[in-house]
Amino acid sequence: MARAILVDTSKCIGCRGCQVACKQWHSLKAEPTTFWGTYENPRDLSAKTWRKVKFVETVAQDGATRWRFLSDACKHCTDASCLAVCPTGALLRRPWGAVDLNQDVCNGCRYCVAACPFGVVTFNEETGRADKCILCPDRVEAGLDPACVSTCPTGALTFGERDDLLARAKRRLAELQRRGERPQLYGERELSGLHALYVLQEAPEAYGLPARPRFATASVLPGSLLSIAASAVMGVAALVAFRERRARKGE
Amino acid sequence: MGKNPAWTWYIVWYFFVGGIAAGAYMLAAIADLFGRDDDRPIAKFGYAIAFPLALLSAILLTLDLGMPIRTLNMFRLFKLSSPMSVGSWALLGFGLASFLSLSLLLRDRPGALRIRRLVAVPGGLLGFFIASYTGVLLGATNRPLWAGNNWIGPLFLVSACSTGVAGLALLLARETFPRLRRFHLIAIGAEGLLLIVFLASLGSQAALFLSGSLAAFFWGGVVVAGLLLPVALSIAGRTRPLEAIAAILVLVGGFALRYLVISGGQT
Repeated sequence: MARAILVDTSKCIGCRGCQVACKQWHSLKAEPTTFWGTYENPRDLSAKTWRKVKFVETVAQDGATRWRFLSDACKHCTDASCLAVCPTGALLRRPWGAVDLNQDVCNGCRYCVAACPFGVVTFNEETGRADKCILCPDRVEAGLDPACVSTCPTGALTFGERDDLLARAKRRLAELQRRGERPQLYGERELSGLHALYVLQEAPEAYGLPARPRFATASVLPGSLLSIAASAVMGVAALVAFRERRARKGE
Repeated sequence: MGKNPAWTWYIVWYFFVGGIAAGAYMLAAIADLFGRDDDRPIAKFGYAIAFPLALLSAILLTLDLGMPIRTLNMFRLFKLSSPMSVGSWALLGFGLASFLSLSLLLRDRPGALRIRRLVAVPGGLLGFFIASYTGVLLGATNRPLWAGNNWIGPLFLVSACSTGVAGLALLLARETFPRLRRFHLIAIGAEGLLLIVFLASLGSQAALFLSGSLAAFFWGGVVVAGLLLPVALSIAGRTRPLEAIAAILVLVGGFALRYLVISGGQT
């Protein structure tokens, strides 16, 4: 059965334990950071930072400032653009849903980098290969939770059967609504279902999540058909150019 | 949006060089299949252009990889959903076909033409594929400008035709080239038309080309050098130097087009 990670932003306190646990488990190097007007660091997910906490400040209609947090990483999409375009098979699907990346196969073509709708997959300049969160298959397949989930002190991150988490997320959504909030569920249907579900307290865009993420290879069929049509036209044009000359010579 | 893949000069040169190879081979194949004895120079020079440029394409693509030593990993599987996977196999096939075509042409024995024609059919079809799949590949990303655009493939295809003929024009003797002149003008006209369609499909993003940071390349390289001047020159006269200058300008325009589209999605 498909498994997933549930990110409940309403329970996140922004401690960044998940961010550090991920670095620890995967032996990811530190990144030099600079202050850029927020406690959020580093600026982007990268080859060395597979999970990070986003700090989002929003001003509500009543003028009150809210501080929202989002533990962000690869969404392990069902319609995974990176997986669809990878020419080597380095990106592969785990039976339980995660999109894994085999470093022994990746040759650094960077197609997955351009294809990811979330800007997650990054080229690692040091290794010459792509990098991203792989949802700790080594831990999960040994019966453990991913490192980030094991570390989370508040229950903002949970791991389990996707269906169970979906039900849990919807219960939480109802709970937050009773409190007068306007929460949103992200990941249930996007790209045929993400293996990372989000209970959001703001619109997805506020967290930098695209409202309608696009499956990169959706354009392959129409693009190919148009190219074939153009090929046919140019082929016929070339033929006619030759034929006409033959006909004229034959006169 | 996806992160910037940093596809730079190797890829720009590959798109350009691969297009010329594909365009030249397509014409050579048509000359072999449907032409007459005096069309032979077209086939000869077309194959002579296609094979070395196909080889150069493979080298450029290999050098662009983060791990060039793993270039053969492209052939671990055949994946229809990945234009890069299908493109790798197609380039392998195209390289093989152009090698065979050139070899058969150099060893001109009775019966060689029949085998050459046999190779020209799949080789020519692969040429059409090589000429256009790069555009489909860019469409299948989540980068600005490229994402979901279906017109880059057709645009690259007609540009491959015009630059392929331009490459031939530089090599063919004075008396042979006029046979390609009509097709050359058709290709340039089709390119102008598809360029307008492509810009229209970009909507507000077209400003990057029309007035933004890439405007000089667009107006000077693609429109004036690649389209307007070659047509003007062909109207002005049909002397050999004019034809050569027009051919070089078309090549400049083809290169500018690849540079524009590739860097446009990464600014």
